[in-house]
Amino acid sequence: MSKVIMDEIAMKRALTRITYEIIENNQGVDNLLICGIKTRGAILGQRIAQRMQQLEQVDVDVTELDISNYRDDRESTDNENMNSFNPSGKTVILVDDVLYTGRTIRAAMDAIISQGRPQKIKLAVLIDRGHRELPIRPDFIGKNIPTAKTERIRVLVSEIDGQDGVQLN
Amino acid sequence: MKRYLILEDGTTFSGEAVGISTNITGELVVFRSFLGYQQALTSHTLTGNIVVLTNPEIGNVGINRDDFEAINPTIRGVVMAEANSVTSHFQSQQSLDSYLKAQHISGLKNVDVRGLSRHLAKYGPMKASFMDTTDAHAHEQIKALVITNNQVNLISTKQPYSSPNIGPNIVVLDLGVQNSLLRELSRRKANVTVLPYDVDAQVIKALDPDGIVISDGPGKSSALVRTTHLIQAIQPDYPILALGLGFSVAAQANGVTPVYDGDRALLSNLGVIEKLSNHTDFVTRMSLNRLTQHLTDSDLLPTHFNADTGEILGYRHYRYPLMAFNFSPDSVLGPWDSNHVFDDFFDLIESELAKRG
Repeated sequence: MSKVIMDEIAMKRALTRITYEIIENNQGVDNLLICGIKTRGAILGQRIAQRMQQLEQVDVDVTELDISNYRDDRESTDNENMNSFNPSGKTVILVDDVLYTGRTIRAAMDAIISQGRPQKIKLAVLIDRGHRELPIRPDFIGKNIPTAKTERIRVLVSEIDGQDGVQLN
Repeated sequence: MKRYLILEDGTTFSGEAVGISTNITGELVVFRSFLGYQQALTSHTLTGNIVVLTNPEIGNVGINRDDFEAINPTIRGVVMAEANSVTSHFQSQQSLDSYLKAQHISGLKNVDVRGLSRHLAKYGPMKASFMDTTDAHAHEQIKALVITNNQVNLISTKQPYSSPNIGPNIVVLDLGVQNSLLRELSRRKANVTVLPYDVDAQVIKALDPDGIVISDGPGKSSALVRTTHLIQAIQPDYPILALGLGFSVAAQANGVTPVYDGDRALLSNLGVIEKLSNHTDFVTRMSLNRLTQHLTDSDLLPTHFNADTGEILGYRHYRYPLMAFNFSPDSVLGPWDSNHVFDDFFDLIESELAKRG
């Protein structure tokens, strides 16, 4: 049985609020680099950047982040490094769909820092489901959803899944 | 009985008495909504005003028990075209005329409201009186009468009161609270404390609220000096939702000066675009204060705009969790598109609480 915990409208509203909070926190959109973790985090990052551009009428740097070489649960692959951006001196907003153990974020931070030295890194997630295994805390949260470890959270995006929303399985 | 509406500039409109027949004076405001005369008559936003209803048919659905915005109406008088004594609606409990009589409100019917509305649009808002005669003496009386600059003081609660529930603690600053605002907060289980508009910041700090709502209300925002200082004192510490008059006072607290404009203000079905999401809501606006300047060089980030004129109808603060809207998302008379503003505010509260750990 899957339960819808965020519909399309709630998801839009959450992304809108996160965008406002980032702008407030950064006091504008200057010097930002929106960095979305592949695959769904990258799409959410695009949507946040698009909202900022609409509001401020300026280009916001946005990139997607491939963390497959930095994971701690499998050997480093021989894939060539897919990341090519320069975070040096920037405020990087790391975007992901679900925050769970924190291991993905740890890997993402390594991936970013391997490209340069950002001024700071902030974390935005659509869903925080708890059960952290590393000392990581998000700065911008769409929704806190306390879960059991056996449950599964699915974030759906129209680009891939044909619809927007969040499901709990 | 034939009576007259005499404007400050000497223009006279004739009509017939409904309600009671006393001589009253107030500032004319035009209510252009097609629906919701009961809400307009009981709205605190129109305190002390003579309300001109431009819908040509008033009274058809009577008065019901569910649509009151306040326990007692605070308007001075009402001007209508056709005022029907026969009501036809399943919720109706009494006729408009009997309600006006019971509440001691003077009314005029069979007035050329369209001509009156156009006159006000051309010459701006002005005082007017209901009189039995049109002689020069009557005209002198209107000119001599000074209307209070601070209507909020007339209606804001003198004593704090609570509207308990089991959810987040919300303080409502009463600049003219309407039932519909408390209803929306209650719907979301907020534990509400309503405070007078000129309360001390210390009182709010002692209550330690999760969020603060600054309500809509009547009159000019420039009259509310104490409330302006109060907002300056509390805005760094609490999530704030400011609506209508509250929107203008909060702007004032951040160095932006609103203008008071009696014309083209009271509307339903006003299109509002949220720039960031390109989402359009249709809303009702009751406040007569407007922001006409740009917000560049201020700490305010404009977020919502009038779809027709580009006027700023919503902003947020760059540094503090403050969101403000110059319309009524709680409006009972609909449309209810912008009701999500309250959900957004509760999300903001939740997110601020999470940050504080």
